[in-house]
Amino acid sequence: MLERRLLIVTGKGGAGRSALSAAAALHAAKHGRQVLAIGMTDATGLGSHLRVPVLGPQPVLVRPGLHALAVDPAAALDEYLRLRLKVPRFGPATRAFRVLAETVPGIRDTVVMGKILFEATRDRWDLVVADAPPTGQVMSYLRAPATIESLVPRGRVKEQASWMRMTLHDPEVTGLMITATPEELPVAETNETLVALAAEGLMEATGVVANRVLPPLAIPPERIAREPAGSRRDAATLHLQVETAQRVHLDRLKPDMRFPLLFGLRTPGEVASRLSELWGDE
Amino acid sequence: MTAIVLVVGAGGVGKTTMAAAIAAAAARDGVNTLVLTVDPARRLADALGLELGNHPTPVPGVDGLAAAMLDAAASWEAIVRTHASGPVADRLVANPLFRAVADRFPSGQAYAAAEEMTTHADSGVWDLVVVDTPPSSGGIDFLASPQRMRALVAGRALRWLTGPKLPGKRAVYSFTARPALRLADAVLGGPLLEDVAEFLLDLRETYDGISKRSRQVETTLRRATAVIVTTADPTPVREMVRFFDELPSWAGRPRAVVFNRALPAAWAHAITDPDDALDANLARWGLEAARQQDIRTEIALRHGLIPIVVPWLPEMPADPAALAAVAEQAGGLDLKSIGLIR
Repeated sequence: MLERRLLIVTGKGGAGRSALSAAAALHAAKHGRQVLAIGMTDATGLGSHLRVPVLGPQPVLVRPGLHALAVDPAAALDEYLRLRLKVPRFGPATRAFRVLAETVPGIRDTVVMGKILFEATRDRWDLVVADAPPTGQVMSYLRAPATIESLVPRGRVKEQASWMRMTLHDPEVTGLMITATPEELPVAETNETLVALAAEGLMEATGVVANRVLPPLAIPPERIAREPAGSRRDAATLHLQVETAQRVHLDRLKPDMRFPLLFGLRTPGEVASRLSELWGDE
Repeated sequence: MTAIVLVVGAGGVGKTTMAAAIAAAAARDGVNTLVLTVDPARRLADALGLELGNHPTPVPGVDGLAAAMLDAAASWEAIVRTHASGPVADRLVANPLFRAVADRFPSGQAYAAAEEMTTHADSGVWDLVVVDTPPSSGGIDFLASPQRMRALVAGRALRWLTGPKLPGKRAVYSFTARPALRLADAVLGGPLLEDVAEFLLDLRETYDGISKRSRQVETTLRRATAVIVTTADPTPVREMVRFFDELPSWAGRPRAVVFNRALPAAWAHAITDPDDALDANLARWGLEAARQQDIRTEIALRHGLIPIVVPWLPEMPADPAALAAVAEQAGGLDLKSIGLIR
C-alpha cells in the first residue's frame, strides 16, 4: 500500500479515514520516506490526527519527513489556472472559472484531484497520502478527470484531464485504500465502491482495510456461561457478541489488512500514533 | 401544528437508527409519525418497508408510523417544475449538469431533504415528522441549506455571468462576462462554459420561486428540535462541538445528546486481577467505559445538554418493536425529555 507514489484513502463516514491516512503517513515517514499528507475535504479531520489543529493550503512540517496540507478548492483552482493552464491570475477567464467551479461540481472535483496528482508526481515527495471524501462522494472525484475529458473537445484542459485519468489508473503510481468497520453499511458501501471501480475501469490498485476489529476474546463461551451475573460476565458477553457479529461482516468484506479496536485512547493523535505502530505488524 | 425532530450527527454514529427509534416510540405512544430517512441500511429499509421515494408509505404492522426515503434527484425535479415554466423546466431537467448539481452540490441533497421536510410538516397530516439529516457535515449543512440555496440562485458570480434579468424575455449573457466566456472557451477548447451559462440562465428562472420557498423552509426549520447523535469517539465528538459552534442563531438549541454505543458506567475503574482472563477483558472495556463517561460529563457540562445513553448493541436493531424498545430503554429518548411533548 505504501510502495506507490500516491495512496488515496476513502471509506464510509466514521470508518476511520483520517486516522488511517495519518497512520499511513506517519509510518512511511518513520521509515525514511518524504511524505505529504493531504486533507481533501476538510482542514481539521486529518490535522487533529497529526496533532496540527488546522491545516492550510501550504505544506507544513509535521515531523521529520512528514508535511501536511488541506486542499482549499479556491486556492487549488487558482494554482491550476496559473501553473497548468497559464491563465493570468486576475484576468476575466479566472473569474469565469471561479463561477464554473462554484456551480459545476465536476470542475471543483477535477481541480482537487489535479492538485493531489500534481503533488504526487513532484520529486519532492516519495509518497503522497490523500485523506479523501467518504465512499458516497469519492466516485465523483475519481470520475472527474474522465468526465471533463469527455466534455471538453480539445486543448490544454483535455490534455490535463487525460493525464489525470491515466495517472489515477496506473497501478504503479496510484493505489486506493477503502477502510470499513465490520458493520452492515460500511461493508456494503465498500463492496459497492469496488464493483463500481471495476465496472468503470477507473483504478487498478485497490485494497480493503478492516478497522476497529475486536481482538479474539480467547475465553470459551462455557466459561462465560458459568460466570455469575456482573460486570465480568457482561463485558465478556458483549465482547463475544460483537466479535460474532463482526465475523459475519468481515467474511463479506474480505479485508487485505486489519486494525484492532483501540480501547480507551482519548485523542485523535493517540489513535493515529498507535495505528501507525501497528502498521508494521500487518 | 406538526412537531419536527431533526436528528443530526457525524457519519457512522447510528443517526438513521435513532431517527427510526424516536419515530417508532412516538407511534407507539399514539403520535401519528413520519420518519424521513436519507440513506438507511438495507435491513432497516426492509423492516420499514422502504423503497426509494419521497412518498410516505405506512410501516408494515405499526399503526401511525410511515416512512419515506429521500430521492434528492426527484425532489429537485419537483422543485424546478414548481418554479420554472414548462419548457425551461424540461430543458433544465434534461441537462446533464442538472443531475450533478442536484446530487452533488454541497447543499443539494441537504436542501432537498429540508424541502421534503417542509412539505410534510406543512401538510397537516402528521403530528410528528422525524428527519434523518444527510451526513455531510454533522447537520450544519442541513440547517444552512436554505440560505446556501438562495446564494446559489442569486449568487454574485452568477449575476455577473448572466447579467440582469429582462422581464418577459429570456435572459442574456452580460456584456462583462462575454469576453471572459470567449477566453475561457479558448482555454477549454470548446463551448463548455457557454453550455454552463445556458444552464445557469435557465436555473435563474427559478430564482424568485426558490428564494421565496427557501425562506419558508427556513421558517419551518426554526420550530424544529434538534437531537444530536454521537458516539464518544474523538471524531464524532469533534464534529458535535463544531455543530454547536456553527449553529445559526435562529435555530433552536438542542436539549439532548444521544450517546450511542455506550458502555455501562459500572465497568469503569473496576478493580481487576490482570492474571484472570475475564478480569483482563473487563479492564480493557473499563478503560473505554471510563473514557466515554468523561466525555459525556464534559459535553453535558459544557453545552448544558441532557445526555441520553444508548447501550452498545452487537447489531443495530431494525424492526419497529426493537427500535421502540431502544428508545424506551434509553430512558429519555422519548419525546418528553427531548422537549416535544409536555
